[in-house]
Amino acid sequence: MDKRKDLTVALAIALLGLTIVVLGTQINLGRIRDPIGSRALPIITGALILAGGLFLAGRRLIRWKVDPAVVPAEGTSDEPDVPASTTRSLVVWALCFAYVALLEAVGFLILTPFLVAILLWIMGVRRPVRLGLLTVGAVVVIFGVFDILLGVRLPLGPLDPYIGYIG
Amino acid sequence: MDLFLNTFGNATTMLGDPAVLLAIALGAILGSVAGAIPGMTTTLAVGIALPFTFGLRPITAVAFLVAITVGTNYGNSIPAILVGVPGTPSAVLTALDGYKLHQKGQSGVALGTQYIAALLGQLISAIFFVAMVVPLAQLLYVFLSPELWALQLLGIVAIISLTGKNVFKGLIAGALGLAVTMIGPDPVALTGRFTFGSVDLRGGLEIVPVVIGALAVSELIRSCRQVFDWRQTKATVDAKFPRWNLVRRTLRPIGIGTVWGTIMGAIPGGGGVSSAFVAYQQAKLTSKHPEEYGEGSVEGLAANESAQNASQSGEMVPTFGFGIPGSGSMVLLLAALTVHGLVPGPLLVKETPEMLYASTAGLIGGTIVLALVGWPLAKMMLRLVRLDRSVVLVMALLLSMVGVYALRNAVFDVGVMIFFGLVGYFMLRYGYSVAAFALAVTLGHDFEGYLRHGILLTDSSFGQFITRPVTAILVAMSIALLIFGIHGTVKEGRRARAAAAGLDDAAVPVMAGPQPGPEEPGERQTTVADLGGRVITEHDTGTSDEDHKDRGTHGST
Repeated sequence: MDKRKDLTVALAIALLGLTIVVLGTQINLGRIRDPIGSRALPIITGALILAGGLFLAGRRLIRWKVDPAVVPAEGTSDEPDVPASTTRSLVVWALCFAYVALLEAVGFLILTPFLVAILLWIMGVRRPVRLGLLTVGAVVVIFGVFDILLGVRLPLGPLDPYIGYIG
Repeated sequence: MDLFLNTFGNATTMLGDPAVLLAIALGAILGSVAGAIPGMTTTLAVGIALPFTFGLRPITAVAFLVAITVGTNYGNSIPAILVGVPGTPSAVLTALDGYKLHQKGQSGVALGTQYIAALLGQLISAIFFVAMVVPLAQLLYVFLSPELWALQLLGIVAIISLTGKNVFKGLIAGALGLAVTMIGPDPVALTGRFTFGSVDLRGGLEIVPVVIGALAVSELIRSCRQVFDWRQTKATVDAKFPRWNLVRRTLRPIGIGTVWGTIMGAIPGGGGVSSAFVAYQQAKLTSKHPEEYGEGSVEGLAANESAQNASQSGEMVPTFGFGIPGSGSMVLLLAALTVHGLVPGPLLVKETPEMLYASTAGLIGGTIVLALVGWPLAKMMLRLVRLDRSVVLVMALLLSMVGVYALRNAVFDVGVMIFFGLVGYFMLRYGYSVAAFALAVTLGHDFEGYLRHGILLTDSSFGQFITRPVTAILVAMSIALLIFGIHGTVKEGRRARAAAAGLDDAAVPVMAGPQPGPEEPGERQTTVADLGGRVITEHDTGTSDEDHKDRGTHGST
């Protein structure tokens, strides 16, 4: 684990804690009052996060010169001897997020094949036939199980007037 | 005693319900299949299956999810024995002794021992589970808000203190989880908090998308960091069931494993890995053949297998007895109950004893199903290790998204899940316990409610609130656990620094090569160093390069 990243995460957490404290002080108390009130726990929780973040950052800074650049990992490690790419994970996440943002407008049947094909390609499935079969198979099976079998109204976007009656 | 016997009676009656029986059979088989896929942890399997239960009756849903946990614990050992790759980390020791037996041409002995130990451990621990939950549930009848608050505090602190390497990071994770539950109406005054004018946030966040995001999607996104296939195998299995005299030899370690597994599993954060390690050590200490351990010992295999399966029943003790989930998969189980309008908490068994019956039916029924189909399944599951890991990851992501959408037909929920998937990813990477986060999210709303209602109950006096006998004892236990956790963190830090300085020199062999992710996301991954060992290189084991060949797309992006 890179100690600079660990420090950055700790400082980000401290900042989040501070934000929660500040927002906590602005909570409307309402008409029903109790000894603790609506603000106390958010402020205490935010303060705990702030203190924790500062403690972890301070601990890292105190040993900054003594510790090597890469310190023992406290999180889940990658598999040994296999290259790892943070970018790949973040791209996968960003694609999923974009999928969610566009799902209602574009619809499941149009958008999902693109998502599945791109994700599979990113994850190393490159043969066109295999890629196509897996993509079509995934969309058909999931649409069949959820929409037709379980009756879940998946968003269909522009296709809704034409096949919205299915399921 | 009546409730104890009634529980088994009602569980048996439930097994006569075709829908419940079908759900259990499906759960056990799908769980076994998922367990056999390296990297597919129990939490991940339950997380993916959870959305399919939304349309089911609560008892069918609980029985199905419990049967999945039974199945994963059974299935995870098959690749460990036949290929040396544990399906989940709790099967790491199975890979030691089981794979050695397989290499010696005794695959049948290894698979047979695993079959007997896993199923016996599961079945006996189901009896222990009911025997432990019933008195706990009756004890809780006298609990009021202060005691319930203290109980939840103890549960959260236990997870924080006993999982992860750094208790301070665990505390932050727990606090973050509590902060998430503060979005929406406050439990007493009902004023909106942290809604930022958004209509979607006015009612607060749904627990299920947050928890699936933090526990399952985070792990899937983390797994996408690397592209590789699990070890290829040309293993053939000559599986003849072991003879009776060998089976008799395994009964003692199975007993040890079952007892330790149930006890360790009942401690929130204890989990299958710790249970397996403690049971293995205890069996070795009391064995007439300790020298065989690590070299293909049927006793070691039996102790480890029974312990990891029994720990599953153990984890359900605090889940149903106190409403405090003992692991990530149990957090998801409780989250499933909220979908069905049930209130996870210590009064769950009192108010809805059907849940206890359904979970017992899931444990017993799942075991019976595996007893019938587990042996022929074992050979077939060898093929699962050869599944394309990339395809599994992408399909699991898609299933999670569509599944969470199915909860309320709300795209917003999917967005919440994806957002907390990223939060969970960073927590996993930097050692902030996602299990503590998810537990705090599950309990958080009640946690604040119990505190504030409790203070009102005790004439607005915090002194009276905290000095109620049971509350005081539980708070004292929480503080003691926290001190224990801090002590552990300091010790771990020193050990890590000493190891970095080159003082760590160990010698128990463990197979090298890609290993699966942590049993519960956020839980520390079992490493070679934990076993006090060094990595055996391919050269040492004589494994060819082809056996380890990775895809040509390594680091392609």
